Amino acid sequence: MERTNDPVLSVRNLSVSFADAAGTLHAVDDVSFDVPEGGILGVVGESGSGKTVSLMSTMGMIESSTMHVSGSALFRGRDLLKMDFAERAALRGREIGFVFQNPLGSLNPVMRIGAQIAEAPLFHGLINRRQARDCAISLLESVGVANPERRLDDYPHQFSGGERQRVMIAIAISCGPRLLICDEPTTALDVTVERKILELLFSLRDRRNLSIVFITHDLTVAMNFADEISVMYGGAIMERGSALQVLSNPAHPYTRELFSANMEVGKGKRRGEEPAGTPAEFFRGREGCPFEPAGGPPFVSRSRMREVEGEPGHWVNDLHRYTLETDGVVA
Amino acid sequence: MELLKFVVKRLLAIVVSVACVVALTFAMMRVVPSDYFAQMELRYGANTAGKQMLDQQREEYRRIFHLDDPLWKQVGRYFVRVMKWDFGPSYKEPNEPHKITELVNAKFPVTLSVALAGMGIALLVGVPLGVFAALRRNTWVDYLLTSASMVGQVVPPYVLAVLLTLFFAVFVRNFQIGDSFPLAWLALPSEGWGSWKNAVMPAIALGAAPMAAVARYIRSSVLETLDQDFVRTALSKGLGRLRVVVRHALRPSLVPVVTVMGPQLGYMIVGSVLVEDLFRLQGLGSLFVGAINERDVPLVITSTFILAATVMLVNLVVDLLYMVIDPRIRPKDLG
Amino acid sequence: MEPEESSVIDPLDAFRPGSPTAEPPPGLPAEPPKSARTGWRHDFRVFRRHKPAVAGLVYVVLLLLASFLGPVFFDMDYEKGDPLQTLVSPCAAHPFGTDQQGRDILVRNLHAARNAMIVAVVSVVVGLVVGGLIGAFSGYVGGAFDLVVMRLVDVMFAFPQILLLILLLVAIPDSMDRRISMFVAIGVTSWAGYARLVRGLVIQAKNEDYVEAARCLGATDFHVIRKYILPNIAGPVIVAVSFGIPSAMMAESGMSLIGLGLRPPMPSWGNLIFDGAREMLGFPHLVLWPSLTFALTLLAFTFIGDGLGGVYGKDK
Repeated sequence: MERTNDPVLSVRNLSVSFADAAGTLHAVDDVSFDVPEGGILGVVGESGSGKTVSLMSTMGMIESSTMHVSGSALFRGRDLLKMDFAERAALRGREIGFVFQNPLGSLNPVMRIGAQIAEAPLFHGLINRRQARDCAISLLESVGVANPERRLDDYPHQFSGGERQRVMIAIAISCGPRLLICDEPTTALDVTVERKILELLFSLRDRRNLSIVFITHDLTVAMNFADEISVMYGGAIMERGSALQVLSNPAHPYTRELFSANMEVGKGKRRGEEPAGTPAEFFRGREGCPFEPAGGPPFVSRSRMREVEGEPGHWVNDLHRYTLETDGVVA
Repeated sequence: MELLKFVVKRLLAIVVSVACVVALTFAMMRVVPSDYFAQMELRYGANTAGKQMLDQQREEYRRIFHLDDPLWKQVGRYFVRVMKWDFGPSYKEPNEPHKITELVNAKFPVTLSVALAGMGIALLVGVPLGVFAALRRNTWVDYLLTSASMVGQVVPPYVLAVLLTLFFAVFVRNFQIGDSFPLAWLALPSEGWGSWKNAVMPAIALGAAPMAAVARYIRSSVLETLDQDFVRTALSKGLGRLRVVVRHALRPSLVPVVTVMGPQLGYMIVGSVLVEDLFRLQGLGSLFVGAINERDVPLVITSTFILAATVMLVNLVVDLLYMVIDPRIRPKDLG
Repeated sequence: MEPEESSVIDPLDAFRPGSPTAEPPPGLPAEPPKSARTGWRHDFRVFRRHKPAVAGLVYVVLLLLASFLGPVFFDMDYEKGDPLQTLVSPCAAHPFGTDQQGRDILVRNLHAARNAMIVAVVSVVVGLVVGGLIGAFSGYVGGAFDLVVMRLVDVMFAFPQILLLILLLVAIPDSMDRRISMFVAIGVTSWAGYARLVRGLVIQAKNEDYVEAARCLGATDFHVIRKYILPNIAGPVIVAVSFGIPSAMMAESGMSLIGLGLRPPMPSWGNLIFDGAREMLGFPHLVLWPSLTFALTLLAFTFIGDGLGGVYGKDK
């Protein structure tokens, strides 16, 4: 598949911190990644790795007086971080759609489905009240909900889990956005339903020329689904590259651990070695590679990205080699 | 269908409860130590002529009100008449067969409209106040509203009415707003159910407690709702902050408010008994108190019946409202 | 909301009509009785942190001293009026002024406070003893008795309380001191709330793991009740009582307002307010001081209740 080189979303040196009386919490530290036009970026990491914060903070989805954001996030050439609330709100829903993890909780329990779907296009002035119903029907149809005319007047609790997530996707694509941010969209779903939702996202990408950011803790799903992968840990990126590059030559020990964890869980065995520290520990200002054992040399930043030799576009967080010299990371 | 079954079931329960209330009232009015005739005796005097008149009257009342029948028969006969919305004559005017019905028809609207006006004030003021306090959580505005609502909830309406009236009266005098600000709105009316203006102060006084309750519940419930995931979805659609609160957070937050509204509205209707005399409103409450003081048994029973039935019906209506606001709630949840 | 929170029995349920009869939640964590763990010194420290509650307590103590000790030291006859000093505005001799018959408003106000507090405390005790014993027995024994009692409680809640109060007050012979009539009437109308509260608490305490453990070690019923159940239900009951007092005061003044409570010339906040309201705009002092004292007293008791609620784990 041939794509233009201009990424839809280009995040550079993003740092997010929350300062309160208890101290400063560095949730995201010096993170950079691109979302290719028409492509799918998978952001992989365990909970607390900063994967959600790094996306949501740039979109103005986190409202906190203690939050401090630095760096840049260019969405189609415009820096999201330099916009005020209203400018970002005008993009949300209109050009950037969101799908969240908990489909039941994410839908308003006391509003009819049709009204929830048509709300964003109505609000952004793309349709008028008379068109709202037809608009909602065609959207429901396009995400594969049967009998859309009848289901329109139902409430969320009358839908099944998979259908609710389809409704969420219909809401997210209701204004024909360029970018879809899916935050663990299949985590709460059964495996079979997960498959169908992923297929739906795939087909929407192709039909509507969407770019997708797919946030997940499941490396296998990301590998199957995404074109590009970013692996995050402790608020920093450990490794990023195309899915093929990361799969065939995982350059960072954390990535390798994720792979082996996935595989060995299948065999019923647990890996003895755990990551060096809990993510929260690093948030409270410990410096250096988050994945290194405690007591390593202090560094100013958590990332020092280095391109893997012979693989353009495959980057690995280089801080790690200072503490794991014998591991052969440094190729 | 399910809904119909629910309503029928609840209506039946209401009929049974009201029957209990009426039977109990009948029974209690029988054991009242100083009854209607004892009071008449005082009026006619103890001479022979007075005694004769009293005996004559007692005979007549036995005939008209079936006083010699056993209790169950009296209660049964009462309910047969209730079916026809005919409450018969009162002791005071035994020869007007529809006196009580006329009284109820005339006075019930007064009580209900004051209660509804109070509830209207409570909602119109309480809901925005609660939302505002929630959005300004832990600021001085929040603390002020929370303490004010505490006062509103604790102090009974008649005390509040007195204090507010005095406050306004002093305020009006000192600031020379003078005639343009009609003091009559605030003052307790001298006589009769004059105009709707006379209902302003009672409605405010009666509405203060529910207003305080509503504001408190709305505040905590909006805070809880704002933490929910669908608010994030609303934000992700690009809606403005106010729109998110009003369109998405408010309606789910109303559910707990509806829970407190039923008892509050019931309290306001029964509370009319306490405040109507003070405000000289000619409503059901003052009718009841007057009947009690005159030991006018049929009138006491009917006003008890109407007040109790209204309170229970209001609770049913509020439960139905519950289902309108939150479609997840089904009749079976309400029992 | 955490599951533990919803399982806490709310003492205010005693005053809420129609709330479901509290059932003991299954699987509560076993926890020793609070008083065994802390003691009243600690309780008082927690209470002291709640500033409005402390202010309320100070106010109530002052009011108690003034209204009970005042008559001992001063001439405080509430009936005696000075016909030459009618409708006097507040001055040095009559700080709150005098009424139409020249009676001192401060004296009448203090007597009203005294009557209100006597009626409130005694009627709450009556309601608590009757309701508490019935509820405790019902909860401890269970079975058919429990079922009958709970149906009765439901009927009590279905009857609008004010109406029942009025009917009772009419039915009680007039020859008695009206304050005694009030004890009886308010006690009868409020027992159901206490019964429901105590029953729920007893059932909850009965099922605690440590109570069962004590039983296994051979403790007698008496020992279990004294050592485990009483300390456990004391807190919520104290909170309920502290909120019951202002509501009994409201009942007393409400009944006096419509002429069914204390009879003039015996002063009550209810009849002081009713009489004063007629001349309100001409002589505001007639009604202002009683209203203010009454409102402040209600607030003070409610603050104390809030403070106690904080002590006994109903802090919000």
